[in-house]
Amino acid sequence: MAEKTIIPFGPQHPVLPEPLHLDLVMEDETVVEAIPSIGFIHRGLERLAESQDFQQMGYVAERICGICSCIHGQGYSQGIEALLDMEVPARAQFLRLVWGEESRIQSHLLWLGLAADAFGFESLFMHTWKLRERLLDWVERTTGGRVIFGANKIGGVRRDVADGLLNEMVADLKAMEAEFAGLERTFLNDATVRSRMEGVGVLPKALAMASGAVGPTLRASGVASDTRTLGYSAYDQVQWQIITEGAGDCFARIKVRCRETHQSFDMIYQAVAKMPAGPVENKPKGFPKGEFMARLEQPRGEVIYYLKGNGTKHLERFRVRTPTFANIPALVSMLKGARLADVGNILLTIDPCISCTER
Amino acid sequence: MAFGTFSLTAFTSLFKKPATTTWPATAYVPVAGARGSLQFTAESCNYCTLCALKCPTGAIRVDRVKKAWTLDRFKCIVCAACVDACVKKALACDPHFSPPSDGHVIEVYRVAEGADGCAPTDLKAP
Repeated sequence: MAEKTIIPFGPQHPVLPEPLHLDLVMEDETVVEAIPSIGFIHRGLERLAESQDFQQMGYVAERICGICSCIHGQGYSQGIEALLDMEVPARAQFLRLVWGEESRIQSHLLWLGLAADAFGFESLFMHTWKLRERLLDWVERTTGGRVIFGANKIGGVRRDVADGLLNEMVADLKAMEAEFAGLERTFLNDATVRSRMEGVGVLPKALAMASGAVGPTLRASGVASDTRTLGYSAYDQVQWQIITEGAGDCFARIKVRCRETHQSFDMIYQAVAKMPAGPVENKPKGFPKGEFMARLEQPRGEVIYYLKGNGTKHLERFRVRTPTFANIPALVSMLKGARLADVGNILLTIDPCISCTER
Repeated sequence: MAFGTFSLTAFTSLFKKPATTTWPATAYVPVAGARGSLQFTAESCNYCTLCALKCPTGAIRVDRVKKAWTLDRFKCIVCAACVDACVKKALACDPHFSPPSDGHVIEVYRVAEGADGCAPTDLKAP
């Protein structure tokens, strides 16, 4: 039996945009066990909710993470709206869907680019991010923000978008989707991509469920689970279906994200076509009182917001369970038996977002 | 499994313009409607302090007695909460980003006697 050695992986590593540390227990080139540790970028944002005005906290909630900012803002707003028992206008719900799906597309494009960079396909990485920049230009034109959208507020959205601009956006998004199809051909068929990703980091369906995986990581193992089925925002008014793949390997996770990108484009087209007229916000009245759990689907998976109000302008407790935190046990399972050279790729396929995880 | 799947993308790229701009030779054109930087118009302000109360980072301070409005751009996250709160429309977002700074300067805007007062009359270090 080979001698066991421990190789530290991260928190600074070329495949990691954010700090996550793994102690890899190795036997020769094979990982026997992976011991994760986090806590490098904790900022105490949940504690801030106890001293900030609940309306000001919306701006902080959005800044939990740069990539998932839109849906963090939406989740916080939905939680407060439930505590205040207030209605959100239909147009605001549709606009939330449009921006939420744009957030998903830009996040998946970002991840696909990072994955291409990790397996050494630099040109593919550049082209994917070039396409993402074009989408971000539309986000900036419609919301005012490029990374932090600043679109959601308690009771609706912060700005309305003219129907003419929305139609212009949809026309350009259709051109972008055609361009994405060209890149997708490379991601799904190229021999170099498949040789690095197929059969690597397999997460069987039973293990995915037992380890509490969420999002594309779970769906790539064949489990049809997506919190958008709850019908929040306007998801109950557009046609869509949960995308799953059965293989559970790194390649299946690429396939899920590629197919979800197309589906997000389609949801935006449908939402713009059905966009109702009317106001985009209702003014909140009173102070939040009671408890509520909001469940939303981030690009990385299910996110849970727990809010507890005590009838004052400060929340008593604000808690976020982020998708990356839920995916870390699944990652540990995937890494067992993997080769050292594949650890970077496997780690990246859960799309780790450590800023969210540590808040 | 296929080979050369990227050839078409690479080949067509040869006949397209670069995706990047050659700044500063080509001027940066901001996206219309972007929240680039905060702009203050002193003559419209009634020093009600609503902006300072709404600011989630404490970047704005207002002195009602001296009629002075202070902004720390290092703290400002350009969330535009103050712009939404301002009833006198003295605050707005300029799509251009703030220029880079080589030091921590707090901008103090005052309406000087007999002057327009729309430019910072005093810049001081924190």
